Amino acid sequence: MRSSLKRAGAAVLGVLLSLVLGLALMPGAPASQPWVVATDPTYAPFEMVRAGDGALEGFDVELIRAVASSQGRSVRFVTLPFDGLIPALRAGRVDMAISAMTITAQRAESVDFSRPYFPAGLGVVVQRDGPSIASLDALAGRRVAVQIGSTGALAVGRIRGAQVSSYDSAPLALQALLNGQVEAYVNDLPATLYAIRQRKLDTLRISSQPLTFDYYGIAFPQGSALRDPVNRGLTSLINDGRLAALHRRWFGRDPAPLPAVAPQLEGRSRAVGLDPLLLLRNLSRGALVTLALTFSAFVLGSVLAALLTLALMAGAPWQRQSARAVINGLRGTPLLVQLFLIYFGLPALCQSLGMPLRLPPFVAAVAALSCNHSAYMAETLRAGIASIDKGQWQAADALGLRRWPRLRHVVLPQALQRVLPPLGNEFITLIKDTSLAAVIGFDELFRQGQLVVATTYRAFEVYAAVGLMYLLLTAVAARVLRLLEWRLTRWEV
Amino acid sequence: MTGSPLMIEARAVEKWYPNGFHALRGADLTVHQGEVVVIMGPSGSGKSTFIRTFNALEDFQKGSITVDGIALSNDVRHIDAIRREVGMVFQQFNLFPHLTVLENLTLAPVLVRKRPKAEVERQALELLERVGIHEQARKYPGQLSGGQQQRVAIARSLCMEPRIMLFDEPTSALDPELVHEVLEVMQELAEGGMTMVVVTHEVRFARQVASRVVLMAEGQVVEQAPPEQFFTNPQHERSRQFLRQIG
Repeated sequence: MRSSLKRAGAAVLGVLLSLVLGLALMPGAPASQPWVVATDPTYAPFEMVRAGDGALEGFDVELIRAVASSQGRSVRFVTLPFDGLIPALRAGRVDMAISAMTITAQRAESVDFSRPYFPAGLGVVVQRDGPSIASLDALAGRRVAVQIGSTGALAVGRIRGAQVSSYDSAPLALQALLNGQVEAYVNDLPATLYAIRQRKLDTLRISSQPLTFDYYGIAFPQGSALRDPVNRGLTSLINDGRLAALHRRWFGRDPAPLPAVAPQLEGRSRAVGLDPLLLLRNLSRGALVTLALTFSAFVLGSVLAALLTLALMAGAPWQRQSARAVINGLRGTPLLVQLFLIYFGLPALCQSLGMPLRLPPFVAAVAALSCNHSAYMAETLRAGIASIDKGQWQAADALGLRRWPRLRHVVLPQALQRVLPPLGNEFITLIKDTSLAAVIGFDELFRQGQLVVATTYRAFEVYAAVGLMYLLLTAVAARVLRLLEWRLTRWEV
Repeated sequence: MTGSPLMIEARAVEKWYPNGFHALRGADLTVHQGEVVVIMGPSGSGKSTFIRTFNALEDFQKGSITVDGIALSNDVRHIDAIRREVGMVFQQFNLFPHLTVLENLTLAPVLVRKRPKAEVERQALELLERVGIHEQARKYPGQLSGGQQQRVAIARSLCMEPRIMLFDEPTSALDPELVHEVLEVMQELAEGGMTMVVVTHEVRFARQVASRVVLMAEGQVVEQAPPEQFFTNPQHERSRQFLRQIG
């Protein structure tokens, strides 16, 4: 039985391996194939998902289609998060990426760029009554939102003393600014202006003139044969005025002149390599945050779970039904949705009711995690208490113990011992669930890893290290729980 | 015996379980101080349910029960007062498995009677010696035999200094060779003057120790008589039928 299982497992593994290898070793696309173009469609007006049919549209989308058709080719889009674009290029999973990507020397260490196709620059957005910021250095000591992996993130990352929150997409970062969770948002000016105008965010304003002059380029895997045809296409669009027409249609004015080579690539500086010590330091910092998050959420979650259990087991009918409804609601919706609802939704709601609420990411993350896990813990606790023999309750009653001493001294010690293994599982799940807090710009372990990938583009090594870090945390937790279990069950023979 | 004070007076007690089962159909019983009343009867006749109403482990819908002068009602204070006077020993012992033998004895006197821990421990060790378990005081219940556990359970009840002891089939869960050690302890207790109500099938115990044997059938007390008379010359057809079955 065992050996046949093993053999079956080996067979499955073999099939999987050959699939992965086959995909990885697939030869470059033949000439008739469409270009596979990666983009992160959360960056209007360059690339976005059209409401209604869900098709991609935007300046970049139209541009690359025009370039492709000038070369007699078509385009197939692949959507990826912005910080996944360069890793995908390096892995050869896509032919190119067009996603309002600023040409920087650092990025050019990992990918090849086309000639510049768009003049951009960093701008600072603040609330209408927010601070005036004339230079990047004026951001020191301020709470600043950036989009992870963006040029803005790179620029703000060099400012000492800025408290940076990185968000997965521009809309999330703008929402955090609207909610007052950050004081400023740094990103490419054209897209930000477009977003403010498009969404009528009248309470936001641009704080100053562009802080830098940058250019967008199309990125390729290093040494890609497609760079030349794309450059030829771009040059023809520039020369016959079609690029300028496209620019007018999306931005209402002519583009500034485009150089043939981005100034950032003239006299390149050394790119950031992967420094193992630095990686370890950053990940350790993230692991500490993850632990703090886990413990806080577990303690608060236990208290909430105890209250829910109390309502379930000893409450009046309406309390029982409310507790049941709360548990069903918390268990029936994804943790990620709860996290967004609390961090982005709650302050937005309060804002619209005229009661500004500033919710730090830590508070929001602990609230969402503890609420979510309290539902599961309450069910576990309830089952544990219900599993205690009726004779125990009756013996306590017969000895004259009242409700609370009966629970505290007779039922709970036995119930807790029984539910310790499932509660331990809950704790370990919680450690892993804290990684979701990355999406609200919280620098826990996973986000620390993402941040390193955003500057080094070494996705495999870094995420493997992140995984090992989680493994270490959960293994230690499991070990401690075993010891605890052993101590609590000393009376069992 | 009728000259001594009345300890339990149950009048026309009726009980329905939530599932509609009519468990007690007008059960009556009086117990005087120092009496040992043995309740016998076929299973399902309501014996256990009846004695569990005496300390409010079961509620009842009609009739009245007075224990040591306190009328049983839904008033929590009355229930607390009665439980302080009445000890109970269960078929399944129901010792607290997470506490040592000694802690099983001291828990309630310290928590409920608010007595100093050291004093209770001294008394508990004396009681354990009386039931022959003092050497196991630091062990956990799971490490003892069934007979030892039941003797600990008796000592646990006595540690609350009750005026009445209820026994709900105290030897039914024991291996036959362990029965006598529990019965011996109960007999000593009876000889010491404890008021006892015992639900049991042990005929020998009833003959030797009981002041009165009560036969219950279908939720009612059918017959009660001194043991000699009950076992040799039962008056009621249900009693004769029951004695034939267990004989």
